[in-house]
Amino acid sequence: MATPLAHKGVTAGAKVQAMTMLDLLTKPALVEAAWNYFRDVQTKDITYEPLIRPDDKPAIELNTGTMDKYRAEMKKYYYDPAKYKTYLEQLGIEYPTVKK
Amino acid sequence: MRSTLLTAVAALSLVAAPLAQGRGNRQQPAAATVAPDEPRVAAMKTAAAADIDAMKTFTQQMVDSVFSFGELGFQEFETNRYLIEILRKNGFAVEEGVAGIPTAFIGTWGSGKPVIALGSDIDGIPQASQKPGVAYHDPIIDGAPGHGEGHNSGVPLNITAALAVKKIMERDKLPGTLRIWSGTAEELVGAKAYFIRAGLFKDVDVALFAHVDDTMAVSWGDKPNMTGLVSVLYSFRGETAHAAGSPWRGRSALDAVELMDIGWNFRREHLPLEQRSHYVITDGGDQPNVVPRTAAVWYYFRQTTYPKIKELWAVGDSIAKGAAMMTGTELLPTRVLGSAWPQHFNKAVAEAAFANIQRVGMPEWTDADQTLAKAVQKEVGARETGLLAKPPETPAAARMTLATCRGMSPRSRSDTPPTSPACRGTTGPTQSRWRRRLHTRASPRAPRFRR
Repeated sequence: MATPLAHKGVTAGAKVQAMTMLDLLTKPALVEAAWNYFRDVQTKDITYEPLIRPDDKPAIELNTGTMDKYRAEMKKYYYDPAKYKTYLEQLGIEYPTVKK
Repeated sequence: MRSTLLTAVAALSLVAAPLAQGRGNRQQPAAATVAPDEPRVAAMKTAAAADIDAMKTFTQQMVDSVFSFGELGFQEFETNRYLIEILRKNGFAVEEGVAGIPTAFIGTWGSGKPVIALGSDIDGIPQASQKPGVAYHDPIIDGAPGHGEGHNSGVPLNITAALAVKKIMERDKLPGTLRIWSGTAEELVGAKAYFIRAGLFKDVDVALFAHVDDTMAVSWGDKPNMTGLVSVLYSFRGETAHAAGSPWRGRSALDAVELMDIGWNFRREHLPLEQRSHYVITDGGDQPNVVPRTAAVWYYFRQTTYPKIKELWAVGDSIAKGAAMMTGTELLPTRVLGSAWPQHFNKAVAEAAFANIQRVGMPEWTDADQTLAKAVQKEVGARETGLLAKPPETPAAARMTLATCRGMSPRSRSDTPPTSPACRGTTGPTQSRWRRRLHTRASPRAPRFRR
């Protein structure tokens, strides 16, 4: 997901997201319709109750071991946009590479 | 792990008015009923699109940077540092470490109503390190984590979109508040329930959520086959002893774990068909000649409604207690490591987003793009059809296409790989995601689950 497929897809997706935000900012009726759907459909028959219990805490210790193991090595491959136009260029990958 | 082959495009947009998700009446698929834009709004959209085109390099750098960090859930420190710096540089007030999670943030710009929250996931997947643009398994670092599900794309997408809209809001003095929040530890379903508990979305009118996919589509309504889940750690404590010299003095916590798993697997036959459940043993002791004093097993209990998730979880609890009794060990207080309600997104918002998808259309794919897409499709055994040139024309068609291509008819459960004609052009990346799930979810029978 650091290829032209991703770059172009994110640009297209950002346009959709931006236009939808503009709809919400300029059309109060749309926000009202969203709230109506929320009240009349999404939460009509059910009330949100968390599955986490009152004493549960976020499991923030998860994945610490794996990241401790790999982080130093991964750092060597962080993308440096000051030096390379793209991450593909930094890694020296011919796009696309389809044969071993 | 060929499952980690990059998928495709990014785009997405789902979404709900406030984040509490529930199940309501099923919506009939219908064509969008969105009125055409007034000239003023249409002009704003044209300006935003031009601005986003002008930000292509900025967007590409964000996508590539976050991809290169490849951090796992709850460890997204580099990712946070990078994204938060960009948000602050662009005038957002960012709160870090929200909801008691060091790698969770929420950035705010603007004031007044409506309050729009833009979310997307930011974490990677274990062992998913992969060179981008390569159509076969070729890790950057063997065994390391990476962005196998494209979670490097969504927050960059939201930031680019927000900056374009912010410019127009400033120019035209539009009231409204933009919030950008991190989908921290999504692969562990670890954070969102805590965000709700902390009240992060209390004053939000609409949440727009973006996720990578192989086409542009929206989602709304009840999803009868989509599960929510609770993720629970069961830990047992026994007595250690030399396993050859004096095993009678020991009580093996590992025995309790194994008997719990055996109990669960016998019980499985008598559980509702729609449930899915799976486990991994996270602590199985140290070495064979030492009776394990501690052991732990981590379960996911998946069901289609909140009450059914709770019922399944209660069965798990009772089996754990039984295992402790059988082995003379103690069941320690359980831990919930994550949770997710079944999804149910908002129709009005989805239809508005869908109209914009029609306006924007799919990107122009080059021969190189299609070559990669087809090679990935071939690698994972899908039909080599490449990527779609146009998005599906109605929300219902998009929904059907996505559903069918994921091997899940909207009404029936099927675990077969996609074969429907509706999948033409979309099978490849979807298939690769399907494969990835087979590899990463420990449940070869549940390819359709998003988590």
